[in-house]
Order: sequence, then structure tokens, then C-alpha cells
Amino acid sequence: MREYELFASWGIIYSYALCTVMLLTAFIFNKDKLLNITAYILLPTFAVHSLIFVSRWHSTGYFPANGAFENGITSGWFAVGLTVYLFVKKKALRGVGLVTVPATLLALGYGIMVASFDRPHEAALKSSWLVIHVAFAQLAFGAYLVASGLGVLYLLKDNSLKKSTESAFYAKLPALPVIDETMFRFVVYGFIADAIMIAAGSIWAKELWGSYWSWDPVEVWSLLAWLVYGLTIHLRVTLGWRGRRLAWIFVFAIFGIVIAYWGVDFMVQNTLHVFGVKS
Amino acid sequence: MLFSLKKFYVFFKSARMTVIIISVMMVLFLAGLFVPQKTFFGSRAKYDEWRFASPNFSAVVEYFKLNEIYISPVTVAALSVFFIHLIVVVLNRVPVMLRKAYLTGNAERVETPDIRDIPGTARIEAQKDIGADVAMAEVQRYLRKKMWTVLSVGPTGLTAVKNRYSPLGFILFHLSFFLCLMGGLLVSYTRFSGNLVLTEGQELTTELKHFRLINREPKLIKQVPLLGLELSSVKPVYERNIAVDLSVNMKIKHEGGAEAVTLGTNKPVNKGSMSILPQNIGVSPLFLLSDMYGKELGGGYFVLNILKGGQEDSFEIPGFPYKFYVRFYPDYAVEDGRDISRSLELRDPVVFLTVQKSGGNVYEGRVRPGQTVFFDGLGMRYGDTRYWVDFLIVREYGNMPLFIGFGVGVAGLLMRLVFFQKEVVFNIEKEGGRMLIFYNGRSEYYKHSFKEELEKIGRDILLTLEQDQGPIGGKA
Repeated sequence: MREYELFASWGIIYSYALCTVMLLTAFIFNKDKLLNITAYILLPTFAVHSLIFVSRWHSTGYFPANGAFENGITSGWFAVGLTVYLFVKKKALRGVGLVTVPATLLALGYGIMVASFDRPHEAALKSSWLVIHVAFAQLAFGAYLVASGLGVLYLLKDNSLKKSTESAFYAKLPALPVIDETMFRFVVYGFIADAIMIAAGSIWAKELWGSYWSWDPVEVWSLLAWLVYGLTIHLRVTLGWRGRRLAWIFVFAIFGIVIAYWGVDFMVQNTLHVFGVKS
Repeated sequence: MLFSLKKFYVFFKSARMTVIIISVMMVLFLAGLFVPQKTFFGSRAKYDEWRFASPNFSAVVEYFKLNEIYISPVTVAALSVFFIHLIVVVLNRVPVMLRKAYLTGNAERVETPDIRDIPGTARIEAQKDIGADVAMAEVQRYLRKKMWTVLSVGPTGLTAVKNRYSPLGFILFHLSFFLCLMGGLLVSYTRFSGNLVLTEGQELTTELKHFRLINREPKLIKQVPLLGLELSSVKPVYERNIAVDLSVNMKIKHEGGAEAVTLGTNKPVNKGSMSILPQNIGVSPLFLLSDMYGKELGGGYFVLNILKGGQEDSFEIPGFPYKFYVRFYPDYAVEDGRDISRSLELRDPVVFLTVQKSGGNVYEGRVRPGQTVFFDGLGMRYGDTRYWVDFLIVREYGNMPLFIGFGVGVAGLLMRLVFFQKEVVFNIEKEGGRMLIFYNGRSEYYKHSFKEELEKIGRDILLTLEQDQGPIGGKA
């Protein structure tokens, strides 16, 4: 890893840490101004994050998905990218960063601590399917993470409404049905990206391992996570679930994805998918 | 009895049942991650070790075949119920979806309702003096421009729909499950997979007797096409002991012709229903046993698993009471008095050979290519080193339904969840010289957000009407 890349990576880690503290403070002490200031820090941080993402891709010649550091960069880029979109387009929903920014911080922090930065690009990863498979996986992660963050916002706003006087801080959040619908939009977005990720992964697996599906632990967890989100879509569309119940599910459903992407490496030894290649 | 059956049927086709079945499958798949699976152990010995360590638990697991949970009767039963449920749901929902897409029954008979007194109906008022027919035409023109389909135009209003065919996405998405099932079953029943090892320069056919390992035999179409495989050369590229590239050059002989091909990781060769993938590589050192006069007695290239520096493997030569243990250093060096390999590339290959007879060593030492070592009145010459490749040979049918299933599934999801259906109704009324336009609408999934879109439609239409309009299709 070149020095400037390392410097910039630590820079965005510290910056995301700062944003996390500010977001937490804003929500705990109901400080709306802090949310505004966070936006001024988050936007340039995301710009630097994007530069690292692009420069990494350019300098190595492949899509950044080789080891925990690159996976942290890529997954965080999608998650914060969608957050920045909300910061710019739907200002009232910027509180979603309360979940996406610390999650990105953790992914990047884990990556930079455990992974080798200049690990050669394995022959197994040299495939055009890598871009499609990983990009859609990380896009799904980002979208689900935003849905999870919106779930938190929904619950906070709902709790605030139940009190005799609604706090001015939470009053600035959009109406509950708007949060509910936006949450569902991101779940749909993630669900479709996830479906493409699974299909692309299956086709790639046939080329690489000779079989579309091997019941590998990562495959099983990805399928489980997809089924969980499919179930929530069913619950909303056909059974009419709305509001708190779904918000709680969306807050916790993200853990299925987290286990698939990061947890399986810890849990089982014999997975065909090795993400967090240690140095 | 009939009533109970009917009740059961109503429940079986319900969304609640979908939720229950998906939940059951999730529990089963989850169990597969925590209940030890045969594939977790890697070897029979390790599996037996686990069985002895927890005899009661393993007995239960084995009885219900939970150690192969994904093909266990429980999972097969759950999947069967899932697909039966899916058939029932789809058959019940298809007429509904066709109706929703205005393809059956009501397609020609959509009537624009009177919405003036319905809650949520908004109203715009055009100041300009225009006729109702002009206003109606302008609204239609605006909607068509915005990709709405006008379903009905009456004397006092119109009804339009956006993403009319979105409900068909439901059918496509669920159809994709059956395509994937069909593909999956075809693949499963026709799949032959086996490993065949070739050393550089060697030629073999895909006759079963040549396979090192048959992983799976097909239940249908048992005859595996006969191919001739000749391994010409192998070139692995390593960077810091990580394989970053692999080129395997070979000739494939099929139906009287021969074709030179290059395979690699992620680059299998497909010949009809057959796929050939290089799965592993190693080295085959040439060892020739001779008597004291140099007469060759036996030997050849031995396929050994020793490429990763310092790994030990062994071989025997039929007719001789020796066991030969080999450790291999592809790029030999000595570090702190220990033999090591600087890389995995064949730069300076050295083997550490141990010859045993009746459990005792008769020779032990390092040997370079071209050297001969002597023991018990015999000579053993280490010739050269060639690569071997362990090929995974797969023959299966069913790829096409799977691929179509993936595509149809994603298309269905996009149609149903991204391009969801919206409907608007307009009532137009001339009242005391003023043109009043009432409008209301609904959207699938996003009722609340649609209000904003509806408001924008109203504003845009008002703007259109207020502009200096001429006859439809042109400016005045």
C-alpha cells in the first residue's frame, strides 16, 4: 500500500469516528445543529473514500474485493454513498448515518487491522464475475444497512410521538409513513441487488468450482439473509405489516448479511469463500 | 370433512402459509450451519472421531440424516411443500394478476368513476377558457408523454395506469423458481463429476477407469462422452507464494478431431455438456530404479502432493520392498540450517529422499535432478520434474433452464417491485365558465409518497392548460 493510501485510509477512519460521535451526540442530546455539521464532515470524507476506492481499483487493476481491507473500503463506500444520497436529497433522513457511519467505521477498522494491503490478486479472483458478484453484494449490504438505519429512525420518532410533547429534534424527521416507505424502498433495492448477487455468484461458482451451488456456509447465509428480506417483503405487501414491527425486523435483519460477509470466516474453517485474508 | 379440506386449502394457499414455509426452510438451512455436516470434517477419520466423542447426539443426527441436512428427507419434504404451495399460490394469483394488468375481463370495460366526492381528491382550476374536449386531450397528451397508459376516456373523465404490466412480474418471478427447480433437478440427476489426474506429456481418455475419484454418478443419461485429454504444458505463476495465474495447455480429442486449448482458474473448457476445470496442481518427479549395471528395473513419474515446500508424500515401486518418502523444495535454499523453499516456482528443485525397507531407513539424503543415489545394491535416479493437474470433469444438463430462471427471476422482481403499478383518475367539469379538473390516484406499496407525485401531476397539467395551446398536436 502506498503511503498516501494508508494516510488517507486512516484519515477517513478518524473522520468516520468523529462523525459517529457527532451523530450519537446529536441523537442523545437532540442537537440538530450537530447533524448539520456532520454533513459538512461526511461529504468530504466520502469524497476521499471514493478517491481511495478508485485509486485502489486503478492501481491494482481489479475491483477492490481482495481481503478484508478492500472489502471494508468497498462495502463502506456503498453504505456511505447511499447515506450521502439521503443527506443531499432527503435532508430530513440524514439521521440514517447513525447506523451506516459506525458500521462503515467498523468494516474499515477491521479491514485495516487484520488484512494485508498488498496481497497479490489470486487467480481465483480474476474473473469478470467478481465485479458483478461483489458490487451487487456490497450494494445490497449498503441498501439493507440504510434500511436498518431508517428502522432506527422510525422507532426513535415513534417513541418520541408517544410522549406527551414531541421533541423538536424528532419533529424534524419526516412523518412515520414517509420513513416507513423509504425503509421499504431500500429493502426492495437491496433485495433485487442481493438476487443478482446470488445469481451472478452461482454462475461464477460454476466456472470456478464446477458447481452452481455447493451449500457452502457463505452461500447458505446469503440465501438465508435473502429469504429473511423476501419474507419481510411478503409481510408488508401481502399481510399488510407496517410500522414498528417491520422496523424492528429491518434493524436486526442486517445481522444475517453481516454474518454472511464477515462472521462465517470466524465460525467455520472450511468455507470456499475466504474474505478476511489475514496477513 | 369436505369443510375441513376446504379450510385447509384456504390456509394452504394463504400468505401466512408462505411465511410459515419460508420460516421452516430458514430454520433448516440455519441448522445446517450448526449441526455438524459430513462436509465439515474433511476426512472420514475426523468424522468418526466426532461420532465417538458424542455418541448420543451423533446417533440422533445420523438417524434423521441431519449431517447431510440439505439433502435430508426433512429438507426435501420442506422443499416439496414449498413448491406445491408455490404452484397453488401462482395458480390462484394468475387470474388476479392478469386482471390487474388489464389483460382479462375488464380490459375493454374500464369505466372512469366519479371521484369528485372521494376523500383525497384534489382539484385544479384552469383560468383559461378552454373546452372540456381540449382539456381532456391535453391531460391525455401529458399522461402519454409521461409513459402512462390511458385505459378509458369517457365524456367526463379518464383513467390511466402506469406500469400496466407490472403485475405480470409476479408471475415471472414465481415462474423463475420452477425454471430453477427444473434446471437444478436436471443438473442433479444428470451430473457426473470426477477427478482425473494428468502429468505433463500424458494422455488419457475420460473412461471411468482413468478417474482418480468419482464424486458423483448420474442417475440419468449415465453414458459420459468419451474425450481424449493430452496435457501439453502447465505454467503456474506465483507471487509471494500465492497462485496468481495458471495456464494449462492441452489437446482435447473428440469425435476424430483434436483441438488445442488453454485452461486456467476461472477459465474452464466446455465441450457440449462436459466441463473441464483445473482444480489442483502438483509435481510429478521422475524416479528410475536400476541395478548396479544401470539396467532399468522400474519407476516413472509419480504423482505426489509435495509442491508446497517441505510437504512429504510417498510412493512405492511394484515388485520392490521399499517405500520412498519425498519432501520437495522447488526453489531450494538453506536457512538457519534448515531446508526451505524460497518460492513455489521450479527454479532449483531438490528432493529430500528417504528410502525405507521393513520400517528402517536404507537411504536418506538430498537429490538434485540428474543425480543417482545408491542403496541395497540398487541405484535410484531422479530425472526431471513435471507438473500434474487434477482436473474436475463435469458432465451435466440443465444449464439453460437455470440461466433463463435467473434472468426471468430478476426481470420479474424489477417489474413487480421497481416498476410498480400506479393509477390516476381525472374528472373534468365545466362550471360557470371555469374548467375544473378533479384527480385522484393510488400506487402500489408507496401510498404516501405517491401523494407528492400526484400533486406534481396536477401542477404540471395546470401549467400545460394555462400555456397558450392551439389545436392538439400543434401551437396556435
